[in-house]
Amino acid sequence: MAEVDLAKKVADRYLKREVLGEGTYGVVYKAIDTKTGQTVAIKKIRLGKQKEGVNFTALREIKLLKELKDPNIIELIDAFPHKGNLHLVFEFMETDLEAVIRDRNIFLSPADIKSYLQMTLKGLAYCHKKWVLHRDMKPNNLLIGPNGQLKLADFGLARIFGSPDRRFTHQVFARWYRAPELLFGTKQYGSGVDVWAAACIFAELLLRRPFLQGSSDIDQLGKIFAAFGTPTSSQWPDMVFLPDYVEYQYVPAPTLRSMFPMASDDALDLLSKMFTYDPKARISVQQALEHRYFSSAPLPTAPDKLPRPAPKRESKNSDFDPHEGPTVLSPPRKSRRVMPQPDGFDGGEIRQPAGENTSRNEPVPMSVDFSIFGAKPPNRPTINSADRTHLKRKLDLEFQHPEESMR
Amino acid sequence: MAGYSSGDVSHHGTYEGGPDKHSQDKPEDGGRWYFFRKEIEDNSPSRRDGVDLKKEAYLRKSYCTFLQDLGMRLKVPQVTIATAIIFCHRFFLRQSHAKNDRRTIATVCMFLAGKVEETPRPLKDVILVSYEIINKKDPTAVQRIKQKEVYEQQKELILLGERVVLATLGFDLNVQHPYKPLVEAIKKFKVAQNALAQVAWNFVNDGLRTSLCLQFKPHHIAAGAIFLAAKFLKVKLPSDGEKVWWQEFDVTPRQLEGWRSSQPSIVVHDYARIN
Repeated sequence: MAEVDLAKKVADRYLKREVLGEGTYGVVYKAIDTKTGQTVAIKKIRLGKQKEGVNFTALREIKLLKELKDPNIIELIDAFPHKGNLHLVFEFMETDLEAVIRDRNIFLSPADIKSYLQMTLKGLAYCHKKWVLHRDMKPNNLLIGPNGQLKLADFGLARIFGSPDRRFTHQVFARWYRAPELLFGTKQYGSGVDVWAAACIFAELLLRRPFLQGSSDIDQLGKIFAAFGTPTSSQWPDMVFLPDYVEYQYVPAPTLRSMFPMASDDALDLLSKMFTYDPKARISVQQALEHRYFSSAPLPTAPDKLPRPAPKRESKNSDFDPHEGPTVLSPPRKSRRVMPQPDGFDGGEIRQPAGENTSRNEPVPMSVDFSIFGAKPPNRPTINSADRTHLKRKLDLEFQHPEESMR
Repeated sequence: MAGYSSGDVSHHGTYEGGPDKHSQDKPEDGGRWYFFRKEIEDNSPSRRDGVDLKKEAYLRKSYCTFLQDLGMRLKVPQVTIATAIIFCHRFFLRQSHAKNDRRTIATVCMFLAGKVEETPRPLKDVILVSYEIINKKDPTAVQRIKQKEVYEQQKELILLGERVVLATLGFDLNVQHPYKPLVEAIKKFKVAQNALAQVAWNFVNDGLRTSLCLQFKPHHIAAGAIFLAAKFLKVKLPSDGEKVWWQEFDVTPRQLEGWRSSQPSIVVHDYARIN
């Protein structure tokens, strides 16, 4: 088989190490690139019994990432089929922004927050310049590399948004990061949806907890209106024409200051511009980067000086397995990508066979102790939970029928 | 697609095989997919397998016609058809016609292009329509493909082919076409817009069926098409001292002349004949 032959040579290039976790569509494992000595993360996607051939979402991610080369976007190093699986080789990232936000041992200074937000927006600005919408912005998808650089990842939902009349599904983003126009069912949207999500991430950095935690789509709108007041048609003229628009009872807005007492005036000004209801009036990513928040003191912290979760070597638990997946706060289907792994632990005697990892979660010290709140960690919604079946229909299996596309 | 024996690939190099790259092209903008005409014509894997230049040109036209027909029957946009054609051209830069049935590969390329261009068609539809076109002289074919085992066999072939095509293309799925730069540039011209656009558009479509799109980047093809169209219509293009029209495309007059001489004369003749 030409396929096997082509792939084998490439596959021999990588030395497989431990499993890092279960991704959306397959296992992710750590590996060493023998050609460069670089540590990489390999996403293995089963090709087995795909009814429609190679996974649409994977193809979309490969296509976009091949074109998106930026310091703030995850690098796709290689892609190849091997033994009935599709392998995507990414640069290895130590942790992600969700782990940073959740780690109570970490103090985030205003300059640190500014730095994380700036890197997020820079990656996003590059996407938008290339006419790509990310559509799944959330702290869990913002990975952090060994030198503290933040990079956008998970482009499985991203889309080219070139033509203005293209109609898209509104079932994108994890609910807490979904812009109001999406919640009102719009099919024609633009880069503003990513800006809203980035604003949610900004707020989350300031508060150290997710800002708008709706328990359903309706409740999500309720949370948004409770924070910013029910939008009026003068604020957002197109709102009443959106497919799922329903009138909400008027609620006045509390001041932003009352919700973010510690934030600077510049931070609040930028935040309010990113949280603008009317997507046409919402600030663009490029404008946001030019906002005085980023040029005023304190200046953003240099990436390599940013606080990050400590390596978990101080654990006294003898059962502790450094190869164990990370603390899983996000939904189980999509566990943490990568855990920082102290070099000293690479001895090998505590290694366990890959595959057993996922079943043994208990001994890992949680980076956040939720018992203090007397509650379990909030259940983060993703598009994989509630809307999954709907989304699958919408995104992956919805074939435009010829009659439709002719309309 | 009978012969994917393990020897095939090593024989004509692997991933980076095929003709040498244009040295001036940067790899990040797909530069590894552009070659000099001589490289394409002299070093193709098919040539090494004894398929001569004339035969390969015929096969190239044949799968283009097939893809245009298949795409139109599946009602995919022209851009999807164009992407499928480019995938096919690039595949046969690295693999031989002697070992790969062109219509099977073309069917795979259409199926893949549908997904890549966000205009997917169900695998079943692609297989049925393709089988029908391939066997259009055989009235029993329509019934035959409806038999489970015939269909399943065809499906296996296409799914296997998809992996081979992806590996051969090195997963470079983002294809740009000359249509956009062409339209943008013509909008800026004050002279004979519609006629010029129409003729240039046809040249671009004709160019798609040749190895031109393996030699020149989309904006160069667009520029060349305008250049030829203007010549054809005897229209004078704007050149007001400061900025000459072709600067829009980041091409030089020398490149344009090169383009013209490599444009197979048959395209111009065909066009003249039709009109």
